[in-house]
Amino acid sequence: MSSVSADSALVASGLVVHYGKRVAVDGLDLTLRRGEVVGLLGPNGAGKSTTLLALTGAVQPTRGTITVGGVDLSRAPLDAKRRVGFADQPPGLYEFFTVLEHVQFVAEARGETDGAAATHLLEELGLAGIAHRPCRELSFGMRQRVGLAAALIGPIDVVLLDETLNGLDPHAARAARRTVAAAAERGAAVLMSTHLLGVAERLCQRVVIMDRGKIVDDRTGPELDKLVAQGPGALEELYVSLVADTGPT
Amino acid sequence: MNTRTLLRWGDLEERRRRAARPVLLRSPWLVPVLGGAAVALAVAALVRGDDPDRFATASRAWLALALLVHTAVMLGAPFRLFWRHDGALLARLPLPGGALFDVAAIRGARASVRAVIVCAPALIMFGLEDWAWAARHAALLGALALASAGLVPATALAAGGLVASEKAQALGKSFGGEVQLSGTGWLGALPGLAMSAVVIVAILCVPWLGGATATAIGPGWLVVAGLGGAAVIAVAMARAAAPAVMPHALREVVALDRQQLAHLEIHPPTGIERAVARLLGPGARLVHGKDARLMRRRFPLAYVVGAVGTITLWIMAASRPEGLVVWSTAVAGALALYGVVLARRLGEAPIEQGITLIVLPIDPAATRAAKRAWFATWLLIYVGVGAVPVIARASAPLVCAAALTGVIAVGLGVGARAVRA
Repeated sequence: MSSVSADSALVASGLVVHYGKRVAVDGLDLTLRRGEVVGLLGPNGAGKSTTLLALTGAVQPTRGTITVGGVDLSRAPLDAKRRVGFADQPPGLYEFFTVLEHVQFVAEARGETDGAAATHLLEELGLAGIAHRPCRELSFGMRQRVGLAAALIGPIDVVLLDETLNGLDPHAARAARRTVAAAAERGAAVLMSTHLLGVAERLCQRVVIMDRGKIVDDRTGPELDKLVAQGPGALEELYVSLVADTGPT
Repeated sequence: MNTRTLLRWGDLEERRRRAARPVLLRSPWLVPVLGGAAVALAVAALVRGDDPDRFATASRAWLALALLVHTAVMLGAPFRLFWRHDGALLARLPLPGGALFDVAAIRGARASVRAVIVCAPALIMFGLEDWAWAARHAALLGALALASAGLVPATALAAGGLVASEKAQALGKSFGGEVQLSGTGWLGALPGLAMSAVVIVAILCVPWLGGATATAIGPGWLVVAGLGGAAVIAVAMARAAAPAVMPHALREVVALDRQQLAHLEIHPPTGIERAVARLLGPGARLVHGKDARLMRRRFPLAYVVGAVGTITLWIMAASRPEGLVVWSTAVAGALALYGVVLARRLGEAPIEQGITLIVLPIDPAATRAAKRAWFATWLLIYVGVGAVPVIARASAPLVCAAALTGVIAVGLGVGARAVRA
């Protein structure tokens, strides 16, 4: 079972998600602490996206409980969702909204009271120049960044990112990493699924590896620092040793 | 790849898509067959009544329905040719233009046959009373089927050719003045014109259907044969042009839609939409404001169609044609049907993004309320406002009010169920 403490932003216990007969998530226990950036790694089909969708309330777990800031997601879904920001893959943008309108809509839904928050966040992410462009005109990388902005806006405790840092140019990737790190410094817990092991090494204080719906490795602090200190490729070696290359199942 | 193999792959994909639908919708033929039986029973009830005008009433009601179902088929022509969900893939593949057009034409012909299945059984009821009367209706039905399967798709192909022609686009811009069509606007405009012409010709046939020897524009049989003949000639010409036009046109249409080159007007909600939003709770108000803005930007035609429907009802009220109740009910019904389509659009991309909304702290009940409020406002404004003078000017206002109120009530009920949140 996951350990619950005062600094737990999100706790998932015994999480199971079935898609028909297929088990996508199989008894997952995970606690996200405030201020930590957690990398969620795993092969395609490992259950990473399903886990993230379940943690947002978009997918109903077959079994298990999820609490966000102490609020049970199944019992008080609106209160819990107010504290969670999520960037889907690909990001679900309202194509006929401008970038600013899209982020403002999400901010208002989450109860953000600062009317200028969206504008400030877009500036931080280097999106001020396209704030008044319709979302449907955006390139892949820009859409990722707008999705990230929508995930970060509002008074949130947890940020869930589904491969959001993929496909960004080096400047945009740097701005995105800074913004994510800043959100963690403000006390949010960040869980980001990614295949970019280099990004995970640089940005994450903790790395969780999933395979076939289960967590097969979870390392943090000195253990992770030691691994990263071994040089580039150490995380990849660990990943390859833990996850069998069986192809999608 | 030839027509046969392209159609086979398309049919396989269509069957898989349909397999996920409710049982009633899994076969494309079941609903038309059931609809045809229901229409035949309704016509039988009308024909066997005591009303001295019962034949004329039955004829007009049948024609209104025939126009409604064939309009739906004709509206689909550009979608079958260009705006298919797999259009982007087909445009990239080295497919012959003839095969692309043939597959769209075959799908159009199937849709026309389904429309005929809805309308034809009622003709048996007509035939039991007077075979010559039934034959005239059957001839018009055949002409409508040919027009919806041939004439309108042919104009859609011509519109695609215009979209792909830089010269035609430049010419359109130089003549357009204040009203400028977007890049792919021709795909709606030209088939729409052809469709309007078909509907007008059919309505002009009403006296002939009732027993007169001529329509308002010439001898009845000649007009009907002319409509059918024009459809056959048009589709033959389109088939001849398809190998050269179709691949280029499909590629251009897909490119324009993909690159989103059409200009987007950024309008805020109108005064009426803001007033409706104020009646809703906070979550519903937020969603309603979003939907109002997005519908105006994505489906501006919804407001044009609504206004045209209202004005049509007003013209009917002013001119008081024979069978005012039937015709106004048909127009209101068509508007309500279109409104139901809009209600479904409210729950689909790009108006709604499933995951984006689901993860936000907005109660699904509030979302449903917001979407139903938008749909009800649209229906009540365009049908309700149009219906008032019709009722006031009808010879039997209570009957007219009952019919139009019934259409609005059914529309509201069906639309409310069609809203997905």
